[in-house]
Amino acid sequence: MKQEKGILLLIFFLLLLWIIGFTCARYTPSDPLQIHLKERLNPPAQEHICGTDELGRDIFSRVMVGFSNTIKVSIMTLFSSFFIGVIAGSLAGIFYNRFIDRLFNWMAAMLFSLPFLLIITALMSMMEKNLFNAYLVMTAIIWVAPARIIRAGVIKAKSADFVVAERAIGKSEWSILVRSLIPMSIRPAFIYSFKYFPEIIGMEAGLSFLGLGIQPPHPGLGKMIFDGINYLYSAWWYALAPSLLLFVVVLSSNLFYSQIAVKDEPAY
Amino acid sequence: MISYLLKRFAYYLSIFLGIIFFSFILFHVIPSDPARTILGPNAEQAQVDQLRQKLGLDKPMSVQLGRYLKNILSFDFGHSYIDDRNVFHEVENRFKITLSLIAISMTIVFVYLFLVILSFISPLLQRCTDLLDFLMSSLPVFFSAVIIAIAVLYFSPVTSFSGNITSLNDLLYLIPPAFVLGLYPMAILAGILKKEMSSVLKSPYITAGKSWGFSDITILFRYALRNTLIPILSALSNILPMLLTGAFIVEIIFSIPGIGSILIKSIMNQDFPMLECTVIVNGAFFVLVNLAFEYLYPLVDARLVKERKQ
Repeated sequence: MKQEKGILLLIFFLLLLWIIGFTCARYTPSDPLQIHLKERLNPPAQEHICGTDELGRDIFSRVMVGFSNTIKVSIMTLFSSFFIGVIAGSLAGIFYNRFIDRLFNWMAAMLFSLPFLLIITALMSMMEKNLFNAYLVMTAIIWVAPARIIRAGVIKAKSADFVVAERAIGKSEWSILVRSLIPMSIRPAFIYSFKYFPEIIGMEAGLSFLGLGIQPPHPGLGKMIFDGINYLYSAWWYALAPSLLLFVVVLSSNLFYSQIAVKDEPAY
Repeated sequence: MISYLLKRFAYYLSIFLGIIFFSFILFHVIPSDPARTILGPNAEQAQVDQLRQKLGLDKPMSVQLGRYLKNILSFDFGHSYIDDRNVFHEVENRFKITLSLIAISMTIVFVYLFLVILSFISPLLQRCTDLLDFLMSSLPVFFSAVIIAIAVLYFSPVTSFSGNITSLNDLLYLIPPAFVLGLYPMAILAGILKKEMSSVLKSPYITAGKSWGFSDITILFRYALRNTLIPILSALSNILPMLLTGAFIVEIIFSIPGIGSILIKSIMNQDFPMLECTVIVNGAFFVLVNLAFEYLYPLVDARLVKERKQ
């Protein structure tokens, strides 16, 4: 598939997800925070499609709101980490094998050598636990992935014939970078960075699972799974509903990515 | 060759030092007053001052950093804020359980990879593994873990775990979570193995082997497999951090007392020494594993040594 078409489809897909998330938060069948102590842990029925949780709240509505939070944070993380990745990756690419590049590689190796949930947990333990901080910390970890691809693209493009020609006619290094090198490497990198979208969603769910994401009583998918595993035997629907939704989102993202994927992927 | 290995060693040592420095900044420089955090907001100022003196927090930063490094070298990470237990022993014990979970899941992964290699002989197996690979790569660990946990609760005879792996029962209990943990690496490694294997099988030396009349099994395992091992190994070292992240979540869902449960407990209680020790022990583990892989490559493929000499 052509890159331009892939990028258009990708933006359309993300927009669609955003709209679905937005509508989900608005039009829930019942109030996700309303407590009905008489209807604790009811099995799925006509009134509550996914049953109710330990405080009698409608799980279906809670899953919808949690989904909308996850989608918003994940898409924002995708874009902001891509933005940082472009800057850091192109800097490392121009100064290939010099100090900045070495520093970048060293930092990337350090971030990739620890399980990301551990780094996030360590960072979040020092911050106030809310959705915005979770977003900041996730961006601080995941930017390495797009940056590596941009770096590889810039290094590859640096030795291309037309860049040598531009240098020969006396263009400045910065204008070559901004007008030729970055545009050339940014498109495949944008498509490729979507490969990490399921991982970002998993990260967000993991944070919420450890209680570091959105705070109760507001619903987060990971938090609902964490609460639900206490009732796995008596109320299996509690943990199943949010995890099933995660599965559907990740599966559809992967299916979509396999359609738009560039033929020869970059090395990272 | 030796200079290359020494260089790699120095590189990984620098990464490990970076992790130590990162955790020092995070846990010792950023928090304004750890002594106050330990004692709580209602403690007397005199008590706080006394504890601060005891922990050496009144000394300048450089002295603290020196003492911190010395403590790490002697495996002394202090005591838990909550129950005053030795943090290193606790993390060590829990880490053993996590590692055995990962070991079992890697065994399952390798059995599956064996099947994938066999699928080059049988078309039916090939179709099955293709479908399985796609499904498994799209399974978030949350979903598969919850499904398998429900299945275990309802159908499995083994539903208790003693806390350390001593009996067959404990081992049996670890198999379903290990399977869940292995799903993602299975898919990734099988994809790489298939890609590499099909390109290796096209090379002339395989045709030569066939014309000598070697059986398919001999060609696959004796001649083709070794050339696919390097990409598999490097993918494996990239996957390991992800595997550990998955292990934390799987452990919590299956209530196995590993590193995952430490994480959740120390977050809830703001138990910083515990978190710090977990970060450093994990960092050391990954640096060691990566180093071991670096040293393994030349053993697997002797051509790499030649390349580096040139």
